[in-house]
Amino acid sequence: MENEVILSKILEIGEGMLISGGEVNRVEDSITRLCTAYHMRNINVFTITASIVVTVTDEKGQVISQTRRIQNYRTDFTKLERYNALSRELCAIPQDADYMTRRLQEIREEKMYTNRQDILAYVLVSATFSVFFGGGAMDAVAAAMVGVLLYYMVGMTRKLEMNYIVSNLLCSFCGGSAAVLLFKLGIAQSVDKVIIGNIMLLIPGISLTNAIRDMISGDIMSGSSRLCEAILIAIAISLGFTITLLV
Amino acid sequence: MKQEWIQIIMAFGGTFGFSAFLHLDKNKLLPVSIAGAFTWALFLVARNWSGNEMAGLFFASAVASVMAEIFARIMKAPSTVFLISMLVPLIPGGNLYYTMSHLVLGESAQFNIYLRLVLWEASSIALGVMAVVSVVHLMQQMVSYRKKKTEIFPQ
Repeated sequence: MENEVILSKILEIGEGMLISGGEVNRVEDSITRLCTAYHMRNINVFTITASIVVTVTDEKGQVISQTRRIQNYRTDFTKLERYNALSRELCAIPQDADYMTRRLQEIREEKMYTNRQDILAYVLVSATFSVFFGGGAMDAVAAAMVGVLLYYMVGMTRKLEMNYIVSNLLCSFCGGSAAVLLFKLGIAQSVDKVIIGNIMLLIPGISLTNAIRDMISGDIMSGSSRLCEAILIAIAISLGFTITLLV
Repeated sequence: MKQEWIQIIMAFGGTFGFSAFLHLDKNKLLPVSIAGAFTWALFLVARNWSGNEMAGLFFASAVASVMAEIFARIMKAPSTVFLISMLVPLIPGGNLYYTMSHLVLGESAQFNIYLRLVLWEASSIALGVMAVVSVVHLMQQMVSYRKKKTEIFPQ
């Protein structure tokens, strides 16, 4: 029983890493190391972007198998770092299940950025990138306003647990409409630059980078599914933004 | 020249914002943003020197990957965290938008040109990352192989 609980906690660490933006190789490696540290043998870990499967034999010879299905991703680099550090710590000195539960709880509840800081990040990204791609000062102001709108849109789609293609399409369509509206009101000088600044907020840079890293470490399946996801999202957001040009 | 300085400063702000957006640990925001601006500056230099945008992207993303690995060792955090943040200024967001806008507006000749450009740009960045990450991966394999060997045959 004890080992089953421990394996479930180990899987929770792996799941946390995957959700907050870790590569498949890192997840598999961490789970294998953790299981070794807890004296488990015949460790078989299989991870793709949507699920984790682990089968081990514990010291009594009992075979334990557990899986996790991953539905939603939410990139959070601080959490990724924390999970990584926790896994290293437990590999060095294995602790009991209660300790693991407590630490996992801490990581899950820790909030590094306040809501206001989150909005500021959205504003900063959209405003700077609209200037970066050749926009003027007023374009940056308009892009920042659309950025605030996108913050609330993204928050809403997360709460509703929407399909990521639909949510990206919806967010970008609303963002594009807002950009066109600001242009019509005379605040923005060019719709293009405002939209480009905001595209950077939704662009699937994480999926794309991790897709490459997964493929290099031999996880072709995860790599190609992430690549596919990235391409679909890129098409969805650029379509959502540009469709407003027809109006 | 003025335009390029503006871009470098904006690359700094953009990397800062993007890493905050992805909830990077606050102590790491500043070094990563400087590295992001440096990546863009490097791209500008490499592009002007070689006269080829793709070569510039390849070079800049390769150097960014090396920097990410170094940062990861110094600051004891996963290298993906740094790599994703540093590559942000190189992402062809503008051309992605123009590709789609030409498609939506039905300008197929322009669409073809931009689509090819975006695909080339994305693959140049990917190749730069691949070149470095695969070497790092190989080195890690060699280190772990050597460790295993000494465990089996203790001196």
